[in-house]
Amino acid sequence: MKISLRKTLNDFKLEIDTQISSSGVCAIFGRSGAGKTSLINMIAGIEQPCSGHISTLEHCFFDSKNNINIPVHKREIGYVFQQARLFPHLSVVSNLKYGYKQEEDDKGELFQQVITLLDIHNLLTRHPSQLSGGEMQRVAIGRALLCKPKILLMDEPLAALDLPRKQELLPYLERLNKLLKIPILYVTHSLDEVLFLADEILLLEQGKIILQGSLESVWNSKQMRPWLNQDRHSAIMHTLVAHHHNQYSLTALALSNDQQLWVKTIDQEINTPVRIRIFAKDVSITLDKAASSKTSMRNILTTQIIDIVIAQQDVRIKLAIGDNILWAEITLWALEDLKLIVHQQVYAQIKGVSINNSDWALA
Amino acid sequence: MLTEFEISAISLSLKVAFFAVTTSLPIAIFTAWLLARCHFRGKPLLNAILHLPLVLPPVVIGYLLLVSFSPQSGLGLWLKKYFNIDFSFSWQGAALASAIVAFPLMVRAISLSLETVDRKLEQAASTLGANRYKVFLTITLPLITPGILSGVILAFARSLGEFGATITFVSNIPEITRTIPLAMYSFIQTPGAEMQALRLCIIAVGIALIALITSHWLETKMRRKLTGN
Repeated sequence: MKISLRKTLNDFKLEIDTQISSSGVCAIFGRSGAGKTSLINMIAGIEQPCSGHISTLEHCFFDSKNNINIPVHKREIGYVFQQARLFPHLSVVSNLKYGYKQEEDDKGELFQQVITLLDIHNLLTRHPSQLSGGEMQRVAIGRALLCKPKILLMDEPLAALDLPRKQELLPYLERLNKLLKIPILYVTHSLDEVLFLADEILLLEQGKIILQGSLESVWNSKQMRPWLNQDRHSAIMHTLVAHHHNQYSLTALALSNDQQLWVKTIDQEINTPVRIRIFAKDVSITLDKAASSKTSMRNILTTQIIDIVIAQQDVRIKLAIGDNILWAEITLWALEDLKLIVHQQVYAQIKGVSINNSDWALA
Repeated sequence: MLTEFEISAISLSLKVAFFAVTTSLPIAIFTAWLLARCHFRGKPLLNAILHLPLVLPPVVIGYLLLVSFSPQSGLGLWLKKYFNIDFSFSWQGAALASAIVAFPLMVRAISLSLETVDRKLEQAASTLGANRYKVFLTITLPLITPGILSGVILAFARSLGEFGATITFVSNIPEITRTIPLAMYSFIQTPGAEMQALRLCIIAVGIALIALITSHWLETKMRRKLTGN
């Protein structure tokens, strides 16, 4: 999908020039007021760019030069808003079927599939006012999917929910992502959602894309640092499930260069790609590798220092393990005592118990 | 029970009010939509003209109708020739007078409720592939039914009570234009008919009460349907 557009609103300027891959989830990430919602509204046709061009592989939605501006209802997009926006006068099933073309779904397969995917069987006869926030959002997603959209736009679908509701909905979104063959543009300012859902990140700041790329590359970049402050500073590693240790409820994850990382059980089959988040504060550095019989640390990984970032009293060491990146947070004192320098080979110790269920996602 | 005279006055009143409301309702919805949703030059003027019947003395409206729809006028002739409608001194004329007097009330109620409709719902409907007509028919219109209902009730009540414009425009002809208020006026003018006037007065109160209770019941039912509680 090709997007190139300009829009000026009072003193805010939006200037986007990008291509988005035609499958997977692209997270549009940034502060509020960065223009995230405006961007997807323009893709949807709800807002109009001053000039530019928006097109998918098959269709051109907007082209100011050729005077093309396809109206919203003909763009075949699915849009899940921050508030579910269910029609209050219609039942759940009528809401779901609002844009659904029964004649194109002769055995009702799509309908059944969507209902099962979102687990909304027992909500069908209810009224929107009788649903919880999470249920409403699931119905809203189902309603959008039943239109057979060519692109799915989601504008912070979890932002209006409280934490338990968020955690309830997140697995559905994850499943959706794996099943759908259409591109999903997902607006968010939550790092957790990005970790769980995104394949690609588009980092937006003051109306401009400052970085775009795979989850790992953007997460570990300099531009993401303002988001990963203090105790949230972390790195994302891509791994494969190697084997399970049932007796101790642990799972070994294979890193790219024959090293293994032990974490709490991840209930996935062997060789499933998994991405994990490791907080810098959970990683320490040692110069000698202690024998595993002499330390409680199960994870002692051979790494190489590729950068040392000193911020006031905190020192963050950027480490490379194969093609993965890891951050370690140490004190200035430790840095001087250990005499760490760039390119030096060191051992990173990671507590296996520090990685829990909210730190991994299927890749 | 009711005398023949009373029955004719009641049925005429109901017929006039019914036609006045049903024929002006689509126009009222359209006008309300214009006022609530569209921006155009001359909107303040349209708004002012629309509200004129509320502030003008009814007799002025009756006089204006008489002048413009009389068979001697161009408009009256044209209507008679092409549509075979004659408003002068007929119950249709009474309905027209009622409709015009009640029109601003209906438009106001509908446009107020149009303004409270969440535009975001309409936006959501359009992302689901609905064109503007489908959006209006399936989202906007159902959501403003309480407003339409209260507009209809107000207009119906105003029509039942219409006196000044009616008597000026179509006069007070028994069984043709003599609605309940006009019949009461005639009794009051007639010495010794106090009893008949009182009976009509009780009937008018009764009709009003029934209309109000029904409208309240309908409105609660509708709101319940809209919110699902």
